[in-house]
Order: sequence, then structure tokens, then C-alpha cells
Amino acid sequence: MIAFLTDVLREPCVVISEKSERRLAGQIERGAAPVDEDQRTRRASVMSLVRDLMAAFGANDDPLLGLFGAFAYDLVFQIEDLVQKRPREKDQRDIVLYVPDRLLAYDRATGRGVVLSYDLPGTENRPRDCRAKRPKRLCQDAWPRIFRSRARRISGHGRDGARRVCPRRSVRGGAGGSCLPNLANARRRKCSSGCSRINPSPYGALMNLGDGEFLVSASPEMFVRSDGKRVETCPISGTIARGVDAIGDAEQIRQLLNSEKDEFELNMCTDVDRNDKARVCVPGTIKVLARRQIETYSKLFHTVDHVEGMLRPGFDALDAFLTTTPGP
Amino acid sequence: MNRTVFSLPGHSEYRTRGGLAVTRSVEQFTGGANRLDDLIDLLDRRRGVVLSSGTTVPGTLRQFRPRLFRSAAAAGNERIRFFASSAEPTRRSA
Repeated sequence: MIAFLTDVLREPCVVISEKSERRLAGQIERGAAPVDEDQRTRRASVMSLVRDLMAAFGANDDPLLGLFGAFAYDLVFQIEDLVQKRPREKDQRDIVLYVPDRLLAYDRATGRGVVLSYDLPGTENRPRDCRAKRPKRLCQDAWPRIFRSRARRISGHGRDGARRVCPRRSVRGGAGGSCLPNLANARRRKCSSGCSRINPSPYGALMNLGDGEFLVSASPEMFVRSDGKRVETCPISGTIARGVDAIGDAEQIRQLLNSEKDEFELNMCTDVDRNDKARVCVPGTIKVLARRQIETYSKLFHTVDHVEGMLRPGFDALDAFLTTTPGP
Repeated sequence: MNRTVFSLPGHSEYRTRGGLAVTRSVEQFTGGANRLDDLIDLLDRRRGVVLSSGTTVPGTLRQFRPRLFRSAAAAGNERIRFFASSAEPTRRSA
């Protein structure tokens, strides 16, 4: 696998400095920022490496084989020339991506599922047990008390167990993902299943990222989706609590739809989103497919737009992701 | 739901676009939704990802529930550095 990766990392900006049987290390030569605004997603960055990996592991004969994992907020420093104000943990990772050797796709609507097993070169002697060897160090990027109480609320356990909480988004949404590095196994599971039961979300995730780091996500919002040609986003703005009964729900929806403030805020989000897409999409293809749709959740209603565009030749799904990063 | 996954052949060999030889076998999942929870518990010990999508808005969003256990390779970056490993890595050096 290492030999294969060495061969496929062809971007000139990727400089490999260390290679062994188990490890490949190197760095990215960034170079100057491009002059054209619409080329900024093409600037040499760690995403150049990801683009190589996507090309290497993608297969025309397989709809699912690819990379699965998480991107962190700090990837914005790969795209924008921003000055980092606060120090980060030395072992903080901004990207963790997995190539699956076993994958289960399950459709709850029909109850059908299939298991796909992949034999990849160099994976015959992989370890079966990847239990964390030691806990992560304290990692917090916001006011600690807020996230302690938030973690206690969703995981349902005491102050001590939640003292190391690293709030992070998995894909998108302030109510989205949280890294819970040192919760006990049962509590992580309880946290994840609790989220699913109490607040079922359209975009949920539970990830074991290795090194004792876990990511739990319960997001209502799709950040961006692209098949390489079409790019879609669903900006959310406008929130109101559910009513006590069906009549109450109807009254709350009426109030939300009649709120000029919520309407203008969603206008702003969608305009920003369309502007982001304009960098990488064919002019004239960016359309608002749905306007102020009501989405119903367990405790509240959201108003949501649905925006699409068609990618210009020379841009791919990763450009679609980068152009909207870091997102609102 | 991407239903093309349900019509894949039971056994196939192919190469990825990067030239990696892959052998894929497909089998039906039995046990129903209850068994899913047992499989998700494996994430306590193994690297992997569970993704779930549960909302359907006709004509816009689709339902899709891929679930993944164990990774063959992992790649990450520390700022501008990167590494890749073919097996469970030891602690990364700076």
C-alpha cells in the first residue's frame, strides 16, 4: 500500500521526506496564491494530496469505494492566508480519512443491506483491535463550561467524565459534531444512540478516528454534496420551536414563514452560497430549486433553501467543497 | 438511497483509477436493523465510520446509510505535513 501511495502522489507540491514499510511522511510546498479568485481552490495545499488520493482509490466499477472520514475547521488555513491567533495541540489532526476494507450499506426504508468486502494489497495482516492506548490530552477551542454542560446533556453522565471535550464540527452545523476523546466506551455509545433517539438528525455520524479520538455528529444540515458534475447545498436559517400539538405546529409554521427577519437571514445565507458557487460553476446554472422549505425535527422547525449548480470543466467535487469552506 | 449497490455482482476484480488491484465480494446483510447496533458497538475498538442520513425530501434529499468497519489505510495531516500508514500506526512523531 505504501508503495502504491508513493507512486500515485504525483502533485508537484507533494514532497515525500520519509518512507518506510508502515509510514509515509512529507510536506506540501504551498507556493504563491493564484491571482484569479476562482482559482483559489486550486492552490497547492493538503487538498492537493487529498485530490491525488481520491483519484487513486476511486473506481468506475464501484459506487462506494473511496475515502471516508472527517475534515476539521482548521483546514481554512490551507485555503485562506489567515494568521492563527491561538496555539493548537501538537497532535491535532485536520484530516482523517479511511479507505474501507469492509463496508455495509443498509436501507432502513426497505430493510435491505449488503456487505462489501475489499481485498486490498498490503492489508492482509492488519490489526483487528485498534483500542485506544492512551487518552487524548485536553483540547478545547471554546468556553469550557458551555461545552462541558453540552456534553453532559447529550451523553447523560457526570462532570468528571466529560472534562475533556473537544467541540468540532464533523461536516457542518453548530449543533453538529463533537469530539469526545476520553469518554468511556459505553458512554460514547450511549451518547451516539441518545442523539439518534432524542434528536434524530438527517446527517448523523459516529467515527472512531484512532488515537483515542471519537467524533459524534447529529447535524440537520447537509454542508455540500457533489457527484463531480452537480453541486448542491441546503442553507438553513430560520428556527422556531414545535407547538404542543398539530394545531400548535401549524401556528408556529405560520409565524416562521411570516417572519421577515428569518426570511432576510436566509436570503443572506443563500446569496453567500450562490456567490461561493459562482467561482466554480458554469454561469447561469446556479439555481434555487426550493425556497424556504419547512423541515420538521423533534423539537423545532427550520426553513431551508436548496441550491444547485453545475461545475465548470476543470473543477471537481473537492473544489465544490473548498469553495464553500469554512461555511457559516 | 443509492440502490445500485444492491445490484452489484457477488464477486468482482478490478483496478481503481490509480491502478490498485481490488477484489470485491458482496453478500446480503442478514439480521435486520437490530444487528446494526451490535456492529456499531465495534467502533469502540476499531477504527471506522458510521454515517447515517434519515431525511427524505421528495426530489431533493435521498436516504443513504453506508456503514463502515475497519480501515485499511489511514491518512491525516498535521498542518502541512501528512502521513499514511498501511496498518495501525504508532504514535505519530511531529
